[in-house]
Amino acid sequence: MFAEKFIESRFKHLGAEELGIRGFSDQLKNCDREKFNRMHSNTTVFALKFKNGVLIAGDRRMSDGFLGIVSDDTLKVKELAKYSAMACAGFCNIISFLETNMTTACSTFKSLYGQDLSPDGQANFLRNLLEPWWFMSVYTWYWAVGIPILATYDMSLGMPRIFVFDDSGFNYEPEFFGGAGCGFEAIRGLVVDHWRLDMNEDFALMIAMKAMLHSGAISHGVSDARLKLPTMAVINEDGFRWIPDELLKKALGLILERTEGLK
Amino acid sequence: MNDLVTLFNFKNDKILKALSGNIGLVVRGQNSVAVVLKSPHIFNFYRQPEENKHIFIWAICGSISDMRVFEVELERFLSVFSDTFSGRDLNINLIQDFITGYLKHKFYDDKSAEPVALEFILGGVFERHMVFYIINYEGSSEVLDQKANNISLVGGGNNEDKKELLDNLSKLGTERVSAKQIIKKIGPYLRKYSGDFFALTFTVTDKKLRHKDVDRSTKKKPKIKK
Repeated sequence: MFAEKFIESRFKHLGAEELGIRGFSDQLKNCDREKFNRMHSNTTVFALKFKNGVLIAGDRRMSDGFLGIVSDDTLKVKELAKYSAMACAGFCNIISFLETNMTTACSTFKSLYGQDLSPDGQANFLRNLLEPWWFMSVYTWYWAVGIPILATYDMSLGMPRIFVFDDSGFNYEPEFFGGAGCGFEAIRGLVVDHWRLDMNEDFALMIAMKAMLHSGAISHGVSDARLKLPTMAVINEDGFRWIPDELLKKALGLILERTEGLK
Repeated sequence: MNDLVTLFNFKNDKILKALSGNIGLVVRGQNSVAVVLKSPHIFNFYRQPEENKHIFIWAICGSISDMRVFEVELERFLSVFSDTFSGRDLNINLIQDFITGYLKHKFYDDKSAEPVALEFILGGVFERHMVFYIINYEGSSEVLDQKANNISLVGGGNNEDKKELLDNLSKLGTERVSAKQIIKKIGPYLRKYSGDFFALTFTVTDKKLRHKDVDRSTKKKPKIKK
């Protein structure tokens, strides 16, 4: 049918054939091509809603195998479009595949049709990108998987939105906070305790920094925020914006000053 | 190469013949635009993917099977697209891209001699303004904006017939009357075309075509003096 051919011609990775047997072998080839295919971002990435927007944060560590550290300079938050960003935990090969395809799809759609992809469109596309990777989780006992989160500001609805995925593409929208990675479980309670519906961006930044300090302390796969500042960005009705390092340092200093247990 | 040229010429002749008794017009009037179609087979589609994004598709069709096959393909595309992205992301530019691709795919298919006789008028709200596209059977499209001619058409027979019709319609001074009056005025000139008559008017406000002024009440057949 022409409909499938048309979509495949415009957004290559999603043709029906790509999702089937041919897609399977393509993904395997992709793994072979990856020079550092054992690299992992054990990671803490999360997104947090506040009064007028959403904050998305990620640590900086890339690991090799279980204990090796490859880099503490990795940028895990990726800007996709004016009002959206993603961050991933897991196998670097899959993460780079997801990021490349998402940025390409967003920019292609904007160039061809003159508008940004909607948050729902981005989430569906990401789900479709993840589906062909299911075999990796089965063959590697859920070790070599890529798990993204998507943070957006929905201009039509006038509200921030977060989408959380699993390795097979299933996704849901948490009410105000969602994330992924080995350090995420450690911070879930902390963020829920501190979160307020009407909190401002500064307050959200303080919670996020505190969460990063906790997750860095509990997992070897997460960079320590005291040694390497995490990356954080805000998306609101004005669009995507990185939070500058000076502000992050200030927030970190304030938290360390006030929290005896974290010094 | 010669075989291909013969094939395309064959299709071209068949399509022009099939569409010769059909006509579709977009006519700019005073603060309004009228879309008028007369054809035995009119394809009509309307969707509002989300607020401010109305999409209208009209087509004159050479045969009932051309119309039905396209309808199935469009529904399939909308379904696959909504699953891949989201129904919210539908817009008039995307539909135009799909339809031109469909027509090119059918016309330049060198494995099929089957002619697909379809020509389209698309209307849609994009960035709060109404945009019209005219697409011919080969998949060539033209966007109608404020600078475009006052009258554009699809179908209408051979080039001489089209030229004669356009000359006659341009003498009516349609740019000085409302869309409803345009429909009444041009009716008699469309007598030689057969089939159902379809008309729709859009009102222009603030020098731009705005979605909220879409008037669908003129879908009834206008009275034409005989």
